[in-house]
Amino acid sequence: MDDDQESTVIGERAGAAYVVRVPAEADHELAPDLQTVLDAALDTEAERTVVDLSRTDFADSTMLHVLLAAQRAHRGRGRPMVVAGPFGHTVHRLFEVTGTAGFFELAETTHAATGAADRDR
Amino acid sequence: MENAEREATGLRDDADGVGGAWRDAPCPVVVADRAGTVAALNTAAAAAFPGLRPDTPLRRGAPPWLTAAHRALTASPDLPAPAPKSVRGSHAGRDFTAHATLTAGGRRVVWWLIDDSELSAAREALRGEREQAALLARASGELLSSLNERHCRETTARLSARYLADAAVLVSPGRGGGLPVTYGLRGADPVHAVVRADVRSVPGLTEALQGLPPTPSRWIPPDALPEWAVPPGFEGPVDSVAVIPLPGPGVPAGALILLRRGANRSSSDREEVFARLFAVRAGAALAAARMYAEQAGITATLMHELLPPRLRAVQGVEYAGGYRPSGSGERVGGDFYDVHPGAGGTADTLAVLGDVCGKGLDAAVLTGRIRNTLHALLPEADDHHRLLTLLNSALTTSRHTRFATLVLASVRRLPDGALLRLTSAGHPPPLIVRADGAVEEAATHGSLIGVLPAVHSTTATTKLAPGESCLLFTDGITEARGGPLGDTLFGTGRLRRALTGCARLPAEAIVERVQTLVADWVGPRPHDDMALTAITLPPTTRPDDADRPTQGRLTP
Repeated sequence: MDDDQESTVIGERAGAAYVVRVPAEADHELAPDLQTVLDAALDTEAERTVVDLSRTDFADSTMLHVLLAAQRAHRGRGRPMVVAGPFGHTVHRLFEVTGTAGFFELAETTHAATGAADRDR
Repeated sequence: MENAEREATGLRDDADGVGGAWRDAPCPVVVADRAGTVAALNTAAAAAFPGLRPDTPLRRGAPPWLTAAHRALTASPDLPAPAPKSVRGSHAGRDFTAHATLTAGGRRVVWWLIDDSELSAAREALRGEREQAALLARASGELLSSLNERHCRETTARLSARYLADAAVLVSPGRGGGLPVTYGLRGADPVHAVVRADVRSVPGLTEALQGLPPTPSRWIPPDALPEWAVPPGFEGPVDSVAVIPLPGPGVPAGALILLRRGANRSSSDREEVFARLFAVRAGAALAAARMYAEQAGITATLMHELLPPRLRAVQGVEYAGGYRPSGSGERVGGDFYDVHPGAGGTADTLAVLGDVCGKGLDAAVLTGRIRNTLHALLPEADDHHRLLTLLNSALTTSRHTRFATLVLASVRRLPDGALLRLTSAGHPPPLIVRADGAVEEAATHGSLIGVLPAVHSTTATTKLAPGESCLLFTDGITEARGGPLGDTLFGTGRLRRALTGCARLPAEAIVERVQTLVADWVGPRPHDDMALTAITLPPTTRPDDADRPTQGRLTP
């Protein structure tokens, strides 16, 4: 895997889901890119959006802001959005400390999240 | 006759019969002998140089530069040795390049004169364009080198007086009753003034200041030009005046009054275009400087409003705050803290420390709303959950997902200590520093404010004994990157270890120590806003110690 892939957000179709892969560092520098990809996800025909945080070991409040906004936008369009782990310590703590875990639909793994989409069909 | 002339010029008919064609050539051709006497000339030459006649000296009718070139060419005794060069010169408003060829065995010189006036004009124009482009580039550089509005106005006036006219008056849009003007006089420093004047007294100025589509900046007669529109020290009568609008993005940036005298009164099209291009650049620079000044003013006002209070003791409990804004320029950050002493001197004191997501004006507005709402909700401070619920519903809108995290600390003085009720709303929980150096994390958690339809929170209660402290901090501290490699988070562990050594220290000293450690950790690298508040029960105080209550509001 080259540096580009390690530090950028990648959005791709996986079955019935659109998966947004978040890199290791999700900070204020990444936030605009993440927002762009999540906005784009809404414009696809996928049945749901899966935000894959399994590789993310640092995330700050700017990323949380983007996720909250995306979750709200998805609800407004009636599109499910699942935030998938397994979550690293920092990400886990970010959801826990901010009390936002209940606001998102969380999944243990991306596989579980995308599998859910395929099962739903 | 024709044959005789052919003989005289030495131009012999050749087999193709073109020998006499030179007479009808469109370019002037002059034949002269070594002594400088004209031997022959064609029709074009006779028209271009009416003074030239056969058998008369070349110098009588030819321009001096041609005569000189002929003399130089024929001075050499061993003609045709050096290959004759072409020479350039002008005559009667036309530009010529003269090429020499030798004939009649070197006894005569044939001068072929090519009229290249148009080419010269084009070259001249190109040179002018290049000079102006360079000038504009330099002017742009000077204009944009400073965001200081005053300096920008001076630069505009100075450059205008140097390149566009003899003097210039920059009129800026007035903010109050007066009209701010900057006088530029060639060779003198610009002068600022605010004049009480009617802009209608200068024709075209009203329109220019309103940012109406630029009318052709015609030079207007200087009759009845008001006194204020002439820079002090301008010598001699004003012979012509032009008003040029300075277009800004969206709003007009002002207008230039250009003054010229005497010989300079006429203005070519190229100068017009140049003035217009200059005006666009000056307008952009002035508008940028003005917008920056306004933004800096707003920021300064907000910063002043949010200046951290110097927190002291309330009911014998010490409060100390520290704030280090991120180094990213003059932007209002999102961290804040407040201490509200309890009503009547006996009720609980409420300390609040928070962090609004984002930066800039939006974040500042939300910060202000949170602090004002909290202030209004102080009577509800006994019930943290209710306070947060009310705050959340006041702030949650469907328009945005900007949020804040904060931590509430209610402090009640007891005879033998201080009772703390601590509630985190999506914020890192406070750390308690015990007298023996043990550091505990307050068992509180809750959801952030401003996004979720409902909040949940758990309040932790703990008691501070003398010499013990509670530290509220924003994630700018724990997420500060630094260390040997520059990319390691300061982290909660490092903060806890630092606090171990802070037992029995005054609140001020704890804040200072943590700030120093984090500053050393970060070094010169960029960092987020960092705020912290220490609540300390001093080792030797009693509840009836003299209070110095301070109503504190503090934010970057």
